[in-house]
Amino acid sequence: MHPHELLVPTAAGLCCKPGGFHIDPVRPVERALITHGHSDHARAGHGTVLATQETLDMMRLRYGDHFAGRTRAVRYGETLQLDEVGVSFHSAGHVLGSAQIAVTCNGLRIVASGDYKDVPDPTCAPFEVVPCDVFITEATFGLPVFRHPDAAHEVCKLLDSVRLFPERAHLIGAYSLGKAQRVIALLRAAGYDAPIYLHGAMETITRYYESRGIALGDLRLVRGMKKADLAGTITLAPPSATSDIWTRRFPDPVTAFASGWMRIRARARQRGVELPLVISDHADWDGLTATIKATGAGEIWVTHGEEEALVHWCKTQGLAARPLALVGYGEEDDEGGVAGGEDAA
Amino acid sequence: MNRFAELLDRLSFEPGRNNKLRLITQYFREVPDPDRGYALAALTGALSFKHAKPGLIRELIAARADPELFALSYDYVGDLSETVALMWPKTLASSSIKEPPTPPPQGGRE
Repeated sequence: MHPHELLVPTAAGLCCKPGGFHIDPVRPVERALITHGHSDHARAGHGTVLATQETLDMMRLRYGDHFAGRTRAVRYGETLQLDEVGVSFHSAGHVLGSAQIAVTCNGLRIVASGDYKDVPDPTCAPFEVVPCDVFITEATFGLPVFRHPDAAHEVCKLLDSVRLFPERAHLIGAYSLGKAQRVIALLRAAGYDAPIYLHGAMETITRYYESRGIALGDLRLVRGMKKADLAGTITLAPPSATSDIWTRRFPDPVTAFASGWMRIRARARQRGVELPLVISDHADWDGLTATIKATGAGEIWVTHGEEEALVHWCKTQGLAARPLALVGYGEEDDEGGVAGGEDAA
Repeated sequence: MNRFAELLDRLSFEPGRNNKLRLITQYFREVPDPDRGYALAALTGALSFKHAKPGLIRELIAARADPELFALSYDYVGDLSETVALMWPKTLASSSIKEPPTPPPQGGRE
């Protein structure tokens, strides 16, 4: 079987005709397999949605009870037969409940990894290498300049700054699903046990993480706090809020942003960030290239991000590689983040 | 000099004068000599680097990186030194090549 008979990019997203489903479709379809809960991958309005329990829960929290006609929860490692095709979900290490989806038919296996990272994260299961013939990789940070430092080191930078400026508030921009909870967990792991404050938009998902057994310590809403009482504190907010009039409630705030984009100075300046924290939920260049090798795949399809450089690298390694023309993926659209497709000037 | 690099980064992003002063004060309090002395010289413009010119930097990275990956990266980042610093191979410096001792800086301007 030719890989293209098994999975083919269409306007609605990656389509598996022999299995009768789409993966992370951007338009409503009859049957959707969803890799994770970020809004550019998990959309409302499909007939049937198959995803991990956590992803289904997050979709319900975001879109309401009627986000899909029917749902089916799939466990990591469980194999389903959909028409002629075997399907299994494997941990992607990106956010809580995130999965890679392996699609197998007539001895040919393709793994659609969705978004992934290969470094430890206290808030989700670790990335699993799934051997395959064709590996579909993201390329959000697909340039060799993107090499994320140890996240614990970045959190130390933040804590040093909190100590040095005890009269200022520290305001951390972080995506509300995954990044925020990871930053909180890293702060706790570094021994920071003071209350951490949340923007209201962070609350639902953060409480959901706690309900899944992820301990995040004393969390409070920033709403209703007196300005003076926020001196010396840490608050997490969606990235768009950190450049908003909302920040006036904080005493001389130090604006931080936790993102892989913060590796590039121009990116930090563009957003008026004073304390860039290079903490990413996507694999960096070294992670992407190491993962591609580890899968043993002879053919690599590269999607959303810096496809060109990664395709070039694959070819230098003797791997067949091509960019997949998929549109509609990037950073979460509801948070005004640095969009993946934004001009990188 | 990584601590100094962190200081410069922080200073370049911090708009407030008093906050900058506090960052500098803290640096000089906690960093020992001779790094602190080099940092003082660098901050006051008393250091010169005869050989660290764009041509040399390009040569160094050309010997260490795939030219197409470098071109794509430079195009993306927009700054030569920053691009080279970010894509500098990790393993080369620590394993195969021994880091040369820091040369004494030259006093005065050219």
